[in-house]
Amino acid sequence: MTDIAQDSINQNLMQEFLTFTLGEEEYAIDILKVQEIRGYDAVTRIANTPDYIKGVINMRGVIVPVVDMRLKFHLGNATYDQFTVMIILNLGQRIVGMVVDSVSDVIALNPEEIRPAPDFGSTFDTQYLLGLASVGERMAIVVDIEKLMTSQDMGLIDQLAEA
Amino acid sequence: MSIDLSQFHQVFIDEAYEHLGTMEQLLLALDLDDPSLEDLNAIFRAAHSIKGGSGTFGFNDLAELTHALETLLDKLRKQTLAPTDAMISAFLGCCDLLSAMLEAHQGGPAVDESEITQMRTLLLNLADGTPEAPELISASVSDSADVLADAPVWHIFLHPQTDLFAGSVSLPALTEDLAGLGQLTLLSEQPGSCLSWQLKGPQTDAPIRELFEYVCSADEVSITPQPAETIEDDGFGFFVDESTLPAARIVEDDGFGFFVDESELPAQQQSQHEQDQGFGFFVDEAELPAQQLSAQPSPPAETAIRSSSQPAKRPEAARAQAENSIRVGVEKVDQLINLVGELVITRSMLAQSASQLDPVEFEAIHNGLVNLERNSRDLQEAVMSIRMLPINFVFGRFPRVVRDLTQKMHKKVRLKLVGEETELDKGLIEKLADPLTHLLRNSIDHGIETPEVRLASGKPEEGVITLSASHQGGSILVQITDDGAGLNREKLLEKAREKNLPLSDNPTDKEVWQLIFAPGFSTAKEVTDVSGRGVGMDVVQRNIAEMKGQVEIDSVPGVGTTIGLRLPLTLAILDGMTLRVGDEIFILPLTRILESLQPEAEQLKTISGKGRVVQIRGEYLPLLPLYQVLHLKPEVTDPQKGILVVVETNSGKVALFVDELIAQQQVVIKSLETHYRKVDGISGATIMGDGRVALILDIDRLARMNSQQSPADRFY
Repeated sequence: MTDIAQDSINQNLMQEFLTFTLGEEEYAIDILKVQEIRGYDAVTRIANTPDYIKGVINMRGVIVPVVDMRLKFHLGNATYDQFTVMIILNLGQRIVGMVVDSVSDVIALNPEEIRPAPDFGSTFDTQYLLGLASVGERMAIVVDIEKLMTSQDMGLIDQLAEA
Repeated sequence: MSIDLSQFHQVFIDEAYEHLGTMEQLLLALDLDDPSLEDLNAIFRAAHSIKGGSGTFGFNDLAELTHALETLLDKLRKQTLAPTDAMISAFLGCCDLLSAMLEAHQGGPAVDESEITQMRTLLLNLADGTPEAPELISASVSDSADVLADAPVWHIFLHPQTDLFAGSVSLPALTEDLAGLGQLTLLSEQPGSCLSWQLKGPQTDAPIRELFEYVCSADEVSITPQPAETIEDDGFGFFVDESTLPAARIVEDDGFGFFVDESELPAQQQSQHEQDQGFGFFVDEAELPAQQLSAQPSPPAETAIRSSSQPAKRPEAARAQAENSIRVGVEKVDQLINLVGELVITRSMLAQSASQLDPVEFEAIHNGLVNLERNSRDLQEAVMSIRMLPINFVFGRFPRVVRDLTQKMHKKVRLKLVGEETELDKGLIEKLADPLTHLLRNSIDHGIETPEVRLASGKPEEGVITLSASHQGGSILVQITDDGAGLNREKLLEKAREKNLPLSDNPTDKEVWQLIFAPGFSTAKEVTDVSGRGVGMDVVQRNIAEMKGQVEIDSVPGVGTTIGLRLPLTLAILDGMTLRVGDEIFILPLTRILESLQPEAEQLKTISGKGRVVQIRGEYLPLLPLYQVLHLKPEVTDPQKGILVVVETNSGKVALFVDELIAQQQVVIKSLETHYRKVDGISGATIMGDGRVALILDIDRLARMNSQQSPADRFY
């Protein structure tokens, strides 16, 4: 009885995460921030932007920027073929596309399963990390994707407007 | 019958705002020396409609105030009092107060009670200026008024195409015939043209109609029911109040309804008010009995038909007449525009895939696509036109602004409006209001001199400010012209030196005028609450630039100043030229393109340290290779093999060098900033037929980027 009650509480606290890989590392992001996953095609390049900003795409009439995380964090090989995937993120008012090596899984995690990250060992600045979680044998880095994407580092948002 | 009145509140409030607007406009236009009776009547009607509506919907505070307003207006229109300037000011103040009260009813801040009482007392005092005069219109009072109290009231409007009464018909005889049917009141009379009456009595319009058959053709006369105070028989199921749904707005003809034109309304609404004041009652001896016998017992069938159509028609008709329009939220229209944009894109995608199909085998598909193209283009145009509004929506508020300011500053200014009907995108219209108000204030404060100064310099005492709007090519030009003192070159230069603004040694007038756009720049000797604080012209320029417009200044000392605002027609659609560099497609705004050419070797020159120029008909234009500025991989780097597009930028003409021009096409502008950020040299994006995104070039920015790039970066 108490176990069931405890379980349901855990169920309620459980959060689902989408995991993807960049090079050797596995990352996890809140699935509620993901709008869709699609193939990489027809990206219009934008001049005078860092190389990791691949350009913009037409998402059913909405113009959405695309970021290649592999280039941004120098992980894996930035090749573009029919297997290249893009995770379309919906971050509050903004929609951003993010190119990753591959999308692996959807996992459910309890808050206590996410352990604080040590202050090293990740390409991501720790301020964008929620922590580390073990998924079976592997370890996933849980990222606060909204904070990361809206940060100055990404240069996706007009800094003037922010100031 | 119980109706939830609150569902009409919004309609009432909207209408009330409209009436207030009309009143204000008319009041400002009123010539005090020779007030037009028609205008006074119109003002009165507006006040009356507000009063009626507010009474019905339980806005008693509004009703009380408008009642006082109406009392005074009534005396004006009956000419027992002459309008004075004090009255106009009181009326305008009252208008403001009323709109504040309306706002309060919509959840705005409450209006101070004492203010309302004060205004009422003021109005009533003004009204008590002279003793009440007897009623002017309609003579004798009927004995049978009580009997007929519940009878329907008809409004008859005769507008003969020929001069009827010059011929066989006699007007007195006709009025007598009409009077035979019930209580007749003559509402207005313009011999030879229009006549209108109000008739109370007959249950249907049949007898009246019959009577007029002898006089004129059916379409020369309109007979409309006026809702009576009480709900009568089985006829009309749905009346709120006669004054809220201003009576009889649609003409009931047996077969068809047409709208009553403006000129008729005065008489009609007046009639509502007059209704309780007295009725003319005429009795005819000879013809009457026969008429009445044949007409009074009306066919029941007709009544039945009428009653079934009436309830639905009435509220609709009342609103239709109000402006002949429906109110729709802007976001709905924008959504529609977006959807149509999507449709256009989908169509081009279809067309592209279909173009690979064999035209003979798939003829039907091709024909269908051609039709689809035409229809979607028409649809797009129609939808775009919804957003277009006459510029009068902004201009309309300025007579009031000018009046208030001139009084405050003891200047005499007449405002002339030109081209108020020019249509402009709604989004632009809203954004225009602030900059225009500012420019107007500037013109009055700094431009127009005081009457004494004007007289001394040989100008008429009254200054003139002209506000004009016109279409010029693909843009709209809004100009504010005053006949004031003009900009003072010396004063501007002096101020610029004081503020250490960069200036060339011998600046042209144009450069000097540009100084006023510098932030914090004001030459006003003292700061008034109108202007002079120097926060203004820079804001104006920024606002206009946000609308992708430009500000032009032209000024002659002692003669006046003209400030021109050049704006695009709409923000949503752009006429563009698609061009290609490497495998990237860009859009160039068509309005900026002057010409395009393939240069000869001898036309291209290199100026040391300043990059390349191209000589076109004796003019040397800087060469702007798009691939360099935007760091693209071009197909050709030799201008002789590519193409040069001569474009107008705000820093002069430049020759844009691209690989190829593709086609001219209308594109729907999409913002990059919604999900991304501003990109230097790019003003927006659009979606092409194949679903790809193409960027729209910001040519002014590109020209500046080109000249900023160090010569070392250049490709020689």
